[in-house]
Amino acid sequence: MRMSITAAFAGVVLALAGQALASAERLAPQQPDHPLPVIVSGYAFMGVDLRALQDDPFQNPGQALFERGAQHFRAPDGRAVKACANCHAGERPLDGVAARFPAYDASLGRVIGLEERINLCRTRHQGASPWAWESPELLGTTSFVRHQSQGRAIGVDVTGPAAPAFEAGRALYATRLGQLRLSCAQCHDERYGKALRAERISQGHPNGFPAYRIGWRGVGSLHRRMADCNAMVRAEPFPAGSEAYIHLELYLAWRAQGLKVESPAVRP
Amino acid sequence: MLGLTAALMIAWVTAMPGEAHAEPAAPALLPRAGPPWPAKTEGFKRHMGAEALIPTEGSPVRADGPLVAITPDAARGRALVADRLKGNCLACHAISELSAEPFHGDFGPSLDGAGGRLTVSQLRQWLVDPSVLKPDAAMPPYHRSSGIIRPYREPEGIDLAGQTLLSAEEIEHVVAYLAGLK
Repeated sequence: MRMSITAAFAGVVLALAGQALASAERLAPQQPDHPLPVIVSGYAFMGVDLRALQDDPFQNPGQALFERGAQHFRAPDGRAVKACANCHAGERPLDGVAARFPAYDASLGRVIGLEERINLCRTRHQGASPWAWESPELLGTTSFVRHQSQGRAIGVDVTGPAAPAFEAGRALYATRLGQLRLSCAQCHDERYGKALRAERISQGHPNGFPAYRIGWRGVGSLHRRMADCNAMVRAEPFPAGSEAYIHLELYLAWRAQGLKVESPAVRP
Repeated sequence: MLGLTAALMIAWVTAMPGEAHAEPAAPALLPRAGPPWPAKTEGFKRHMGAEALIPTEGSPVRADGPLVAITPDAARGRALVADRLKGNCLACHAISELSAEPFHGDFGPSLDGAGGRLTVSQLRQWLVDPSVLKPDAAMPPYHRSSGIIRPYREPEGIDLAGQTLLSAEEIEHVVAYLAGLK
Protein backbone atom coordinates (compact mmCIF):
# COMPACT_ATOMS: atom_id res chain seq x y z
CA MET A 1 0.00 0.00 0.00
CA ARG A 2 2.73 2.34 1.02
CA MET A 3 4.67 1.37 -2.07
CA SER A 4 1.74 2.10 -4.32
CA ILE A 5 1.18 5.54 -2.74
CA THR A 6 4.86 6.35 -3.26
CA ALA A 7 4.68 5.06 -6.80
CA ALA A 8 1.54 7.08 -7.49
CA PHE A 9 3.16 10.20 -6.07
CA ALA A 10 6.25 9.66 -8.21
CA GLY A 11 3.97 9.16 -11.19
CA VAL A 12 2.19 12.46 -10.57
CA VAL A 13 5.51 14.28 -10.17
CA LEU A 14 6.82 12.79 -13.40
CA ALA A 15 3.60 13.63 -15.22
CA LEU A 16 3.76 17.23 -14.00
CA ALA A 17 7.39 17.52 -15.05
CA GLY A 18 6.60 16.11 -18.47
CA GLN A 19 3.63 18.41 -18.82
CA ALA A 20 5.72 21.46 -17.95
CA LEU A 21 8.27 20.54 -20.60
CA ALA A 22 5.51 19.88 -23.08
CA SER A 23 3.63 23.08 -22.31
CA ALA A 24 6.77 25.22 -22.04
CA GLU A 25 7.17 28.00 -24.51
CA ARG A 26 8.66 26.49 -27.67
CA LEU A 27 9.94 29.00 -30.11
CA ALA A 28 10.87 28.31 -33.66
CA PRO A 29 14.23 30.00 -34.36
CA GLN A 30 13.96 32.82 -36.88
CA GLN A 31 17.56 32.76 -38.11
CA PRO A 32 18.30 30.32 -40.95
CA ASP A 33 21.70 29.41 -39.45
CA HIS A 34 20.34 28.78 -35.93
CA PRO A 35 21.61 25.48 -34.48
CA LEU A 36 18.45 24.47 -32.59
CA PRO A 37 15.19 23.07 -33.98
CA VAL A 38 13.25 24.68 -31.13
CA ILE A 39 14.21 27.16 -28.39
CA VAL A 40 13.22 26.24 -24.81
CA SER A 41 14.15 28.10 -21.61
CA GLY A 42 16.21 26.38 -18.91
CA TYR A 43 13.11 26.78 -16.74
CA ALA A 44 11.46 23.90 -18.56
CA PHE A 45 14.37 21.55 -17.81
CA MET A 46 14.04 22.03 -14.04
CA GLY A 47 11.98 19.92 -11.67
CA VAL A 48 8.67 21.13 -10.27
CA ASP A 49 10.32 22.11 -6.98
CA LEU A 50 12.72 24.57 -8.56
CA ARG A 51 10.10 25.98 -10.92
CA ALA A 52 7.82 26.65 -7.96
CA LEU A 53 10.70 28.34 -6.15
CA GLN A 54 11.30 30.69 -9.07
CA ASP A 55 7.62 31.47 -9.60
CA ASP A 56 6.85 32.53 -6.03
CA PRO A 57 8.32 35.99 -5.34
CA PHE A 58 7.99 35.37 -1.60
CA GLN A 59 10.15 32.25 -1.84
CA ASN A 60 12.44 33.06 -4.77
CA PRO A 61 15.88 33.22 -3.11
CA GLY A 62 17.10 35.66 -5.76
CA GLN A 63 14.61 38.21 -4.51
CA ALA A 64 16.76 39.58 -1.67
CA LEU A 65 19.57 40.68 -3.97
CA PHE A 66 17.01 42.01 -6.42
CA GLU A 67 15.53 44.20 -3.66
CA ARG A 68 19.02 45.38 -2.83
CA GLY A 69 19.47 46.33 -6.49
CA ALA A 70 16.22 48.28 -6.36
CA GLN A 71 17.61 50.25 -3.41
CA HIS A 72 20.87 50.97 -5.23
CA PHE A 73 18.86 52.13 -8.23
CA ARG A 74 17.14 54.78 -6.11
CA ALA A 75 20.06 55.76 -3.86
CA PRO A 76 22.06 58.90 -4.78
CA ASP A 77 25.71 58.05 -5.31
CA GLY A 78 29.06 59.44 -6.52
CA ARG A 79 30.34 62.99 -6.79
CA ALA A 80 27.21 63.97 -8.73
CA VAL A 81 25.04 62.66 -5.85
CA LYS A 82 22.66 61.27 -8.43
CA ALA A 83 20.63 58.07 -8.41
CA CYS A 84 19.93 55.90 -11.44
CA ALA A 85 16.28 56.79 -10.86
CA ASN A 86 16.98 60.51 -11.36
CA CYS A 87 17.54 59.87 -15.06
CA HIS A 88 15.53 56.66 -15.40
CA ALA A 89 12.28 57.68 -13.72
CA GLY A 90 8.95 55.89 -13.67
CA GLU A 91 7.80 52.41 -12.86
CA ARG A 92 9.79 50.44 -15.47
CA PRO A 93 12.04 53.08 -17.00
CA LEU A 94 14.41 50.55 -18.56
CA ASP A 95 11.69 48.26 -19.91
CA GLY A 96 13.15 46.25 -22.78
CA VAL A 97 16.71 47.58 -22.45
CA ALA A 98 18.29 44.49 -20.92
CA ALA A 99 16.75 42.32 -23.66
CA ARG A 100 18.94 44.17 -26.21
CA PHE A 101 22.26 43.55 -24.38
CA PRO A 102 25.12 42.84 -25.03
CA ALA A 103 25.29 45.73 -27.47
CA TYR A 104 27.91 47.66 -29.41
CA ASP A 105 28.98 50.88 -27.67
CA ALA A 106 30.15 53.42 -30.21
CA SER A 107 32.08 55.53 -27.70
CA LEU A 108 34.13 52.53 -26.56
CA GLY A 109 34.25 50.90 -29.97
CA ARG A 110 33.36 47.45 -28.69
CA VAL A 111 30.49 45.26 -27.52
CA ILE A 112 29.64 45.58 -23.83
CA GLY A 113 27.33 43.70 -21.49
CA LEU A 114 24.71 45.13 -19.16
CA GLU A 115 27.09 45.03 -16.20
CA GLU A 116 29.58 47.27 -17.97
CA ARG A 117 26.77 49.52 -19.18
CA ILE A 118 25.70 50.04 -15.55
CA ASN A 119 29.30 50.77 -14.57
CA LEU A 120 29.56 53.28 -17.43
CA CYS A 121 26.59 55.14 -16.01
CA ARG A 122 28.30 55.17 -12.64
CA THR A 123 31.55 56.67 -13.94
CA ARG A 124 30.07 58.97 -16.58
CA HIS A 125 26.96 60.28 -14.91
CA GLN A 126 27.27 59.66 -11.19
CA GLY A 127 30.98 60.29 -10.77
CA ALA A 128 31.17 57.05 -8.85
CA SER A 129 33.67 54.23 -9.09
CA PRO A 130 32.63 51.12 -10.99
CA TRP A 131 31.34 48.15 -9.06
CA ALA A 132 33.38 44.97 -9.13
CA TRP A 133 32.17 41.89 -10.95
CA GLU A 134 30.15 39.52 -8.74
CA SER A 135 29.82 42.17 -6.05
CA PRO A 136 26.32 42.20 -4.53
CA GLU A 137 25.93 45.80 -5.74
CA LEU A 138 26.54 44.95 -9.39
CA LEU A 139 24.66 41.63 -9.26
CA GLY A 140 21.69 43.23 -7.51
CA THR A 141 21.46 46.23 -9.81
CA THR A 142 21.90 44.07 -12.92
CA SER A 143 19.18 41.79 -11.61
CA PHE A 144 16.88 44.77 -11.00
CA VAL A 145 17.51 46.29 -14.43
CA ARG A 146 16.99 42.94 -16.15
CA HIS A 147 13.77 42.42 -14.22
CA GLN A 148 12.39 45.56 -15.83
CA SER A 149 12.52 43.61 -19.11
CA GLN A 150 10.84 40.55 -17.63
CA GLY A 151 8.63 38.95 -20.25
CA ARG A 152 10.31 40.88 -23.06
CA ALA A 153 11.80 38.88 -25.90
CA ILE A 154 15.58 38.80 -26.17
CA GLY A 155 16.74 40.46 -29.38
CA VAL A 156 20.32 41.62 -29.88
CA ASP A 157 21.96 43.33 -32.84
CA VAL A 158 24.81 41.19 -34.17
CA THR A 159 25.27 43.08 -37.42
CA GLY A 160 27.63 45.88 -38.44
CA PRO A 161 30.25 46.71 -35.82
CA ALA A 162 28.98 43.92 -33.53
CA ALA A 163 29.53 41.23 -36.18
CA PRO A 164 33.17 40.39 -35.36
CA ALA A 165 32.33 39.90 -31.67
CA PHE A 166 29.38 37.71 -32.62
CA GLU A 167 31.51 35.53 -34.88
CA ALA A 168 34.16 35.22 -32.17
CA GLY A 169 31.46 34.12 -29.71
CA ARG A 170 30.09 31.58 -32.17
CA ALA A 171 33.60 30.17 -32.69
CA LEU A 172 34.26 29.90 -28.96
CA TYR A 173 30.93 28.11 -28.51
CA ALA A 174 32.03 25.43 -30.98
CA THR A 175 35.56 24.98 -29.60
CA ARG A 176 36.36 21.80 -27.67
CA LEU A 177 37.92 22.98 -24.42
CA GLY A 178 39.65 21.48 -21.44
CA GLN A 179 40.82 18.04 -20.45
CA LEU A 180 37.36 16.64 -21.28
CA ARG A 181 37.53 18.21 -24.77
CA LEU A 182 33.90 19.27 -24.81
CA SER A 183 32.46 22.26 -26.65
CA CYS A 184 29.37 24.16 -25.54
CA ALA A 185 27.63 22.88 -28.69
CA GLN A 186 28.24 19.22 -27.90
CA CYS A 187 26.13 19.48 -24.74
CA HIS A 188 23.72 22.34 -25.34
CA ASP A 189 22.99 21.95 -29.07
CA GLU A 190 23.44 18.24 -29.60
CA ARG A 191 22.50 16.61 -26.30
CA TYR A 192 20.11 18.83 -24.36
CA GLY A 193 17.47 16.83 -22.51
CA LYS A 194 19.94 14.04 -21.76
CA ALA A 195 20.97 13.36 -18.18
CA LEU A 196 24.38 13.84 -16.59
CA ARG A 197 23.82 11.81 -13.44
CA ALA A 198 20.32 13.07 -12.52
CA GLU A 199 20.54 16.56 -14.00
CA ARG A 200 18.95 17.28 -17.37
CA ILE A 201 21.19 19.28 -19.66
CA SER A 202 19.42 22.44 -20.79
CA GLN A 203 19.93 24.38 -23.99
CA GLY A 204 22.18 26.78 -22.11
CA HIS A 205 20.17 29.97 -22.55
CA PRO A 206 21.14 33.20 -20.76
CA ASN A 207 17.63 34.53 -20.13
CA GLY A 208 17.50 33.83 -16.37
CA PHE A 209 20.80 35.42 -15.31
CA PRO A 210 21.85 36.79 -12.90
CA ALA A 211 20.24 33.77 -11.30
CA TYR A 212 20.08 32.07 -7.93
CA ARG A 213 21.84 28.77 -8.46
CA ILE A 214 21.26 25.92 -6.04
CA GLY A 215 24.86 24.73 -6.40
CA TRP A 216 26.11 28.21 -5.47
CA ARG A 217 23.64 28.81 -2.69
CA GLY A 218 23.59 32.33 -4.01
CA VAL A 219 23.10 34.63 -6.97
CA GLY A 220 25.74 34.78 -9.70
CA SER A 221 26.27 36.25 -13.12
CA LEU A 222 26.06 34.52 -16.48
CA HIS A 223 29.84 34.78 -16.65
CA ARG A 224 30.19 32.89 -13.40
CA ARG A 225 27.94 30.19 -14.86
CA MET A 226 30.16 30.04 -17.95
CA ALA A 227 33.22 29.76 -15.72
CA ASP A 228 31.65 26.79 -13.93
CA CYS A 229 30.87 25.11 -17.26
CA ASN A 230 34.50 25.63 -18.29
CA ALA A 231 35.78 24.23 -15.00
CA MET A 232 33.47 21.21 -15.30
CA VAL A 233 35.11 20.26 -18.59
CA ARG A 234 38.39 21.00 -16.80
CA ALA A 235 39.23 24.04 -18.86
CA GLU A 236 40.71 27.19 -17.39
CA PRO A 237 37.83 29.69 -17.07
CA PHE A 238 38.09 33.18 -18.51
CA PRO A 239 37.72 36.07 -16.05
CA ALA A 240 34.29 37.63 -15.51
CA GLY A 241 33.70 40.47 -17.94
CA SER A 242 36.48 39.25 -20.23
CA GLU A 243 36.23 39.81 -23.94
CA ALA A 244 35.82 36.06 -24.50
CA TYR A 245 32.75 35.87 -22.23
CA ILE A 246 31.21 39.04 -23.68
CA HIS A 247 31.55 37.52 -27.15
CA LEU A 248 30.05 34.27 -25.91
CA GLU A 249 27.24 36.16 -24.18
CA LEU A 250 26.44 37.97 -27.44
CA TYR A 251 26.28 34.67 -29.30
CA LEU A 252 24.07 33.12 -26.59
CA ALA A 253 21.71 36.10 -26.70
CA TRP A 254 21.41 35.75 -30.49
CA ARG A 255 20.82 32.03 -30.02
CA ALA A 256 18.08 32.77 -27.46
CA GLN A 257 16.39 35.36 -29.66
CA GLY A 258 12.69 35.54 -28.87
CA LEU A 259 13.03 33.87 -25.48
CA LYS A 260 11.58 35.92 -22.63
CA VAL A 261 13.75 37.47 -19.92
CA GLU A 262 13.26 35.63 -16.59
CA SER A 263 15.11 37.52 -13.92
CA PRO A 264 15.65 36.79 -11.07
CA ALA A 265 15.52 33.14 -12.05
CA VAL A 266 16.36 29.97 -10.13
CA ARG A 267 18.61 27.40 -11.77
CA PRO A 268 19.94 24.02 -10.60
CA MET B 1 14.21 17.06 -2.99
CA LEU B 2 15.63 14.62 -5.50
CA GLY B 3 16.32 17.46 -7.89
CA LEU B 4 17.98 19.47 -5.18
CA THR B 5 20.20 16.59 -4.12
CA ALA B 6 21.13 15.88 -7.71
CA ALA B 7 21.92 19.51 -8.34
CA LEU B 8 24.20 19.56 -5.35
CA MET B 9 25.91 16.40 -6.51
CA ILE B 10 26.33 17.76 -10.00
CA ALA B 11 27.89 20.91 -8.64
CA TRP B 12 31.35 19.45 -8.86
CA VAL B 13 32.89 22.83 -8.38
CA THR B 14 31.43 24.49 -5.36
CA ALA B 15 33.92 27.19 -4.47
CA MET B 16 32.29 30.60 -4.10
CA PRO B 17 33.74 33.69 -5.69
CA GLY B 18 35.16 35.69 -2.89
CA GLU B 19 34.50 39.13 -1.56
CA ALA B 20 34.25 42.24 -3.69
CA HIS B 21 37.35 43.08 -5.66
CA ALA B 22 39.46 46.17 -5.08
CA GLU B 23 38.29 49.17 -7.06
CA PRO B 24 40.72 50.83 -9.45
CA ALA B 25 42.32 54.11 -8.41
CA ALA B 26 41.09 56.04 -11.42
CA PRO B 27 37.32 55.84 -11.77
CA ALA B 28 37.61 56.56 -15.49
CA LEU B 29 39.39 53.24 -15.98
CA LEU B 30 36.57 50.76 -16.04
CA PRO B 31 37.35 47.26 -14.91
CA ARG B 32 36.66 45.55 -18.21
CA ALA B 33 37.20 42.24 -16.58
CA GLY B 34 37.34 40.98 -13.05
CA PRO B 35 40.32 39.10 -11.66
CA PRO B 36 40.57 35.35 -12.35
CA TRP B 37 38.01 33.24 -10.55
CA PRO B 38 38.99 32.08 -7.07
CA ALA B 39 40.98 28.88 -6.84
CA LYS B 40 38.98 25.69 -6.99
CA THR B 41 41.81 23.39 -6.06
CA GLU B 42 39.96 21.86 -3.13
CA GLY B 43 36.93 21.13 -5.27
CA PHE B 44 39.07 19.46 -7.88
CA LYS B 45 40.90 17.41 -5.31
CA ARG B 46 37.57 16.23 -3.96
CA HIS B 47 36.48 15.39 -7.45
CA MET B 48 39.62 13.84 -8.86
CA GLY B 49 41.60 12.65 -5.91
CA ALA B 50 45.08 14.09 -5.44
CA GLU B 51 46.74 11.02 -6.90
CA ALA B 52 45.05 11.67 -10.22
CA LEU B 53 47.33 14.65 -10.72
CA ILE B 54 50.45 12.69 -11.58
CA PRO B 55 51.96 14.04 -14.80
CA THR B 56 52.37 11.65 -17.69
CA GLU B 57 55.00 11.71 -20.39
CA GLY B 58 53.74 12.09 -23.95
CA SER B 59 50.39 10.35 -24.06
CA PRO B 60 49.72 8.13 -27.05
CA VAL B 61 46.66 9.27 -28.95
CA ARG B 62 46.51 6.01 -30.90
CA ALA B 63 46.43 2.88 -28.78
CA ASP B 64 47.55 -0.05 -30.90
CA GLY B 65 48.16 -2.45 -28.03
CA PRO B 66 48.24 -2.62 -24.24
CA LEU B 67 49.51 0.68 -22.82
CA VAL B 68 51.50 -1.10 -20.15
CA ALA B 69 52.50 -4.69 -19.48
CA ILE B 70 50.40 -5.62 -16.46
CA THR B 71 47.85 -8.27 -15.68
CA PRO B 72 44.63 -6.27 -15.91
CA ASP B 73 42.24 -6.63 -13.02
CA ALA B 74 38.57 -6.38 -14.01
CA ALA B 75 37.49 -5.91 -10.38
CA ARG B 76 39.81 -2.93 -10.09
CA GLY B 77 38.40 -1.66 -13.39
CA ARG B 78 34.87 -2.00 -12.05
CA ALA B 79 35.77 0.16 -9.07
CA LEU B 80 37.36 2.79 -11.34
CA VAL B 81 34.24 2.87 -13.53
CA ALA B 82 32.00 3.49 -10.52
CA ASP B 83 34.36 5.90 -8.75
CA ARG B 84 33.24 9.51 -9.17
CA LEU B 85 36.78 10.66 -8.52
CA LYS B 86 38.17 8.44 -11.28
CA GLY B 87 36.34 7.16 -14.35
CA ASN B 88 32.99 8.61 -13.28
CA CYS B 89 31.60 6.64 -16.23
CA LEU B 90 28.10 6.48 -14.75
CA ALA B 91 27.78 10.25 -15.08
CA CYS B 92 27.08 9.62 -18.78
CA HIS B 93 26.50 5.86 -19.19
CA ALA B 94 24.12 3.37 -17.61
CA ILE B 95 25.42 -0.08 -16.61
CA SER B 96 22.80 -2.52 -15.30
CA GLU B 97 25.40 -4.59 -13.53
CA LEU B 98 26.22 -1.50 -11.39
CA SER B 99 22.59 -0.70 -10.60
CA ALA B 100 23.43 -0.46 -6.89
CA GLU B 101 25.18 2.84 -7.75
CA PRO B 102 22.70 5.75 -7.94
CA PHE B 103 22.13 8.18 -10.82
CA HIS B 104 23.30 6.68 -14.09
CA GLY B 105 23.26 9.27 -16.86
CA ASP B 106 22.06 8.81 -20.42
CA PHE B 107 24.41 11.28 -22.09
CA GLY B 108 26.11 8.36 -23.84
CA PRO B 109 24.82 4.87 -24.69
CA SER B 110 24.34 2.13 -22.11
CA LEU B 111 27.48 0.07 -21.66
CA ASP B 112 25.54 -3.16 -21.20
CA GLY B 113 27.01 -5.65 -23.65
CA ALA B 114 29.92 -3.35 -24.54
CA GLY B 115 32.31 -6.30 -24.40
CA GLY B 116 30.19 -8.14 -26.96
CA ARG B 117 29.94 -5.18 -29.35
CA LEU B 118 33.56 -4.05 -29.28
CA THR B 119 36.91 -5.81 -29.30
CA VAL B 120 39.46 -5.22 -26.56
CA SER B 121 41.52 -2.97 -28.81
CA GLN B 122 38.44 -0.97 -29.81
CA LEU B 123 37.48 -0.54 -26.16
CA ARG B 124 41.01 0.65 -25.38
CA GLN B 125 40.97 3.16 -28.21
CA TRP B 126 37.57 4.49 -27.09
CA LEU B 127 38.99 5.11 -23.65
CA VAL B 128 42.38 6.51 -24.67
CA ASP B 129 41.08 8.91 -27.33
CA PRO B 130 37.69 8.32 -28.98
CA SER B 131 38.38 10.93 -31.65
CA VAL B 132 40.57 8.38 -33.45
CA LEU B 133 37.47 6.24 -34.04
CA LYS B 134 34.87 9.02 -34.23
CA PRO B 135 36.14 12.57 -34.76
CA ASP B 136 33.06 14.26 -33.30
CA ALA B 137 32.64 11.90 -30.33
CA ALA B 138 31.62 13.78 -27.19
CA MET B 139 33.34 11.29 -24.90
CA PRO B 140 36.45 12.69 -23.20
CA PRO B 141 39.84 11.16 -24.00
CA TYR B 142 40.89 9.38 -20.82
CA HIS B 143 44.55 9.06 -21.69
CA ARG B 144 45.42 12.02 -23.88
CA SER B 145 47.37 15.05 -22.81
CA SER B 146 48.30 16.67 -26.12
CA GLY B 147 46.17 19.09 -28.08
CA ILE B 148 44.12 20.14 -25.07
CA ILE B 149 42.90 23.75 -25.29
CA ARG B 150 43.02 25.72 -22.03
CA PRO B 151 43.62 22.82 -19.62
CA TYR B 152 42.44 23.83 -16.16
CA ARG B 153 45.05 25.62 -14.12
CA GLU B 154 45.34 28.05 -11.26
CA PRO B 155 48.09 30.61 -10.70
CA GLU B 156 49.43 28.81 -7.66
CA GLY B 157 47.28 25.74 -7.63
CA ILE B 158 46.69 22.71 -9.75
CA ASP B 159 47.66 22.58 -13.41
CA LEU B 160 46.14 19.90 -15.63
CA ALA B 161 48.38 20.66 -18.60
CA GLY B 162 50.12 17.46 -19.71
CA GLN B 163 48.00 15.26 -17.44
CA THR B 164 45.50 12.57 -18.27
CA LEU B 165 42.22 11.51 -16.69
CA LEU B 166 43.37 7.93 -16.10
CA SER B 167 46.82 6.37 -15.96
CA ALA B 168 47.95 3.65 -18.38
CA GLU B 169 47.42 0.98 -15.72
CA GLU B 170 43.96 2.28 -14.92
CA ILE B 171 43.00 2.21 -18.61
CA GLU B 172 43.97 -1.48 -18.81
CA HIS B 173 41.91 -2.33 -15.73
CA VAL B 174 38.84 -0.53 -17.13
CA VAL B 175 39.27 -2.23 -20.52
CA ALA B 176 39.30 -5.60 -18.75
CA TYR B 177 36.09 -4.75 -16.90
CA LEU B 178 34.28 -3.45 -20.00
CA ALA B 179 35.39 -6.47 -22.06
CA GLY B 180 33.54 -8.64 -19.54
CA LEU B 181 30.22 -6.84 -20.08
CA LYS B 182 28.69 -9.32 -22.50
